[in-house]
Amino acid sequence: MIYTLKSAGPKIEVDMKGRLTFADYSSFREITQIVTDNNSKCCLFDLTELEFIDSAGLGMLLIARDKLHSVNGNVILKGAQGQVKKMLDLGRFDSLFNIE
Amino acid sequence: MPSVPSEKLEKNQTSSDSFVKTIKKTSGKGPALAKRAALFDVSPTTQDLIDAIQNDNTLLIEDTNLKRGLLGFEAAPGELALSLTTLTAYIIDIIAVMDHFLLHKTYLHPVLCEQILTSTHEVVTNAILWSNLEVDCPNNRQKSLNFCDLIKDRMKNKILARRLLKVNVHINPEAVDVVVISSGKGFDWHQAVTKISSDVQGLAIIHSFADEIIAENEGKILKLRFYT
Repeated sequence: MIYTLKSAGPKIEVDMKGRLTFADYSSFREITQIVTDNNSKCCLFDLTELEFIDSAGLGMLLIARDKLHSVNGNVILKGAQGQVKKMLDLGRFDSLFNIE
Repeated sequence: MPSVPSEKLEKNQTSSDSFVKTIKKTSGKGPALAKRAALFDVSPTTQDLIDAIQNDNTLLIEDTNLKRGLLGFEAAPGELALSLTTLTAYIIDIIAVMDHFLLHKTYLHPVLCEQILTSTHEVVTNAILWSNLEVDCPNNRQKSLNFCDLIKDRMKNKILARRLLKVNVHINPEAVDVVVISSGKGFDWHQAVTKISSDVQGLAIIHSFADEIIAENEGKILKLRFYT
């Protein structure tokens, strides 16, 4: 997975591209660190160009959600399609996240 | 950006100057079992494997870093058989390799291909982490972010890193059979299934997509069947 930080601050926007799998814990840890460093209250993940996600990737999104919830913040998931959309549906993420 | 081992890093570690690929025809036992094997002098990259499938109808692919020769894991026409070290399996993009195989060597429906890829990826991940690397499942989500450190640490152990992982995909007229064989401590499949919770877990995903699941040899062999 390759991520691009589009904006930082109270609201951060991250574009994800490629495949988000168990091999991406390190990259995702960087993202959560950015959230911490910016005292962010909102994190928007643009998943438009994300092609594949596995259970570990879904878990990473839940980690971000837990982290933002702990500061009364929230995570927004945007643009999921194909396999990624199906996996979010399988995990009933619409009941856990704000999905655009 | 990722700090996990990359293909580039692996090539450097194994001396890219001597990076040589050879394609070797193996001795078949008859026309039905005549097969070609791609043997790599160093750990193959994702693109190496895709090229082997694309160029040679080569469906038996072995990472000769193992220095073990062929292991009797034979691929008939229409099969994909990967035989890789744990390190190679972790570094390469097995999904991309399988995606290429299913796209170019089969006529399966795209939705079925997606289900096979998603399920097989989960099984391969289990085989790498829980069986071959003998990693313990983290007891909370936040701790799992440190998984990358744990995996890198385990990969430093050559015995664990060189453990074998085999992935076989066989296309039948009525079904697609996937067999994943690990060589570590195995995986208590039945116990894990009973722990499936509301959290999204790999096992739940596999159960959602595969029509049949059979675990053998203490969970070291996992067979998935997908009816076409």
